[in-house]
Amino acid sequence: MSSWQPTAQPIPVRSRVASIFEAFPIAGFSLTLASDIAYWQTENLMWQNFSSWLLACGLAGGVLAGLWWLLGLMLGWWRANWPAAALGLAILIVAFINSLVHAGDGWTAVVPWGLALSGLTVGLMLASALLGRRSRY
Amino acid sequence: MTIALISKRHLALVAICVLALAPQAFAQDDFDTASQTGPDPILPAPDYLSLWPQLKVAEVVGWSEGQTPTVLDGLTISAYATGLVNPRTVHTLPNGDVLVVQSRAPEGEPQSRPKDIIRGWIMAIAHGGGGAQKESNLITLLRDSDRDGRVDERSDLLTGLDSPFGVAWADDTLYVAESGAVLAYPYSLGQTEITASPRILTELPGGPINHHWTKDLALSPDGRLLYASVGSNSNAAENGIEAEKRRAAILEIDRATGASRVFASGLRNPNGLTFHPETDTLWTVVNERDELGPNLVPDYMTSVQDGAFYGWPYSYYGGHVDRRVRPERPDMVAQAIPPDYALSSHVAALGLTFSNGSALPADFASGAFIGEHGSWNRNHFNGYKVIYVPFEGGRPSGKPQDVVTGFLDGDQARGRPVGLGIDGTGALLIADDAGNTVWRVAAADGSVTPEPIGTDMPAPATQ
Repeated sequence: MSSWQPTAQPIPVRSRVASIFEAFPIAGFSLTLASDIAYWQTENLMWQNFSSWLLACGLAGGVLAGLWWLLGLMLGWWRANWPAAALGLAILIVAFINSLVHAGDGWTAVVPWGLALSGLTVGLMLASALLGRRSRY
Repeated sequence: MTIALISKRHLALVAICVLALAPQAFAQDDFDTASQTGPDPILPAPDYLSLWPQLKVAEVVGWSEGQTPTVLDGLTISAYATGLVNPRTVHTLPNGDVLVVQSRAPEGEPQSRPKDIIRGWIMAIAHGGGGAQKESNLITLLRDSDRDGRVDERSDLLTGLDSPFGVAWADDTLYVAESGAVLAYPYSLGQTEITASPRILTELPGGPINHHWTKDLALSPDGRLLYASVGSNSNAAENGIEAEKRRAAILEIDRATGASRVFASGLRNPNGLTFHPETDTLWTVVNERDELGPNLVPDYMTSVQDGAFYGWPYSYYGGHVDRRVRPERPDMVAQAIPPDYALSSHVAALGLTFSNGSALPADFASGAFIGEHGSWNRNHFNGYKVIYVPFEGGRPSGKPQDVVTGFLDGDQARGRPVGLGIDGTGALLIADDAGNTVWRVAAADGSVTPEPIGTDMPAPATQ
């Protein structure tokens, strides 16, 4: 019984789990840039708190994604795409430094360096997407 | 800071990056803290981007049997009371009875950022947390009936309070400043228990944040007014300026009606409210802001002028603007007046008492003792001692001198001094919260005052 959609294959659970983990840094770090811009424009500290939590959630998801990727590597679920992995690691490092910057109090925890690092993180994520391969954050 | 959320592999890499970025912080390690004491402290440039906060937290180990802090020649020290639970302040009543206020921070400060969770964990170490804790939040009365410097009678006057700190007594009324109100209890001198319920004299800014929760209290020399210190709700207004209403301030309260007003503001965390016995001027010690580097901002002692603004959060030491605070308020910065006497950074000065009229040696005849709880947010400990600043004509007149030391043992803390007072015999008392002890520092020759002088009673003019 051949499928009408020749490429359709069931996506293995392990890959779906990886996608779930990866969603956190993608959403978290993008929204961090948005909330940083909101703080810069409004001086309302709520946005700085949002950024701190978004960074934390993104990092948690990113670390889990990285660990899952390592596990899969060891168990032979997939093979390493080293450029993508290096980019993913770079994103996590920049985001971690950014969370240290955001741990400061008030304006100077966001403007200018927090905002710049948030922008850099998003830029690296876009580069990672353009790399066209499955990257692991 | 999301240390818990990141793997060790990443942490190592980041640590390398951070070390590379932190030469400035290390260069400040040989900074002379003495250059930040006195009326004109050296203020280095603020470090707004310190990625890795400087931390050195002393583990609390307590005092072993017979062990005491060290005092200067001509003084002797003994344990006045032990087995207390977080003693914070001492207050002597006019009959010589000593009240020891024991207190723990109120629970439930909301955690707004990942950083708050980590900060709470660090503070727990610095306060000797862990394990089952004995019930605190009580006031214990100590009576030295024969005035030999040893406590003969001890009773718990009030228990189950809401994080008390300051007390004052006038007209058969004991005023207790809890973390959210000034309570008034009917209390006659000599009573060893209080069963009457209190009335609320005045509400004070309280929870749920109540970041700096210690409310100190002083009675005006004419006995008509009370002064209550209210610390800020944040380090540098990071909880929003709306959380700072009537905070970082000293409130003046009419004892008869409970009506209150802001007497002075811009004082980040004022404690140790004391009237100078010669000039009747109100003095306080203030904990200044953190996270601008290990040598900013120096804590200070200052006289408090009616209506004055001392800078927090917008600036420090007059016009030094804190760029973290937005919206900016150049109008407030222009008003800010510098404090009188810097004590160096992060010493956490919490206790202040004047020596005038005490029975201490002539070297300490006229000046201020200051209790420095000790730092946790710099690489080298600072504070953890009681110092003396000489006064002349009601103003500080010289360099500070270390009087009581030995609270630290290497990287561990045996105790940490908080509130100070002069007991009924004219000796200095030190509340040591981490050591759960009240220490008594007396003249080595055994001198005592002819009669007790209450904390609230102005000392007789210089003898």
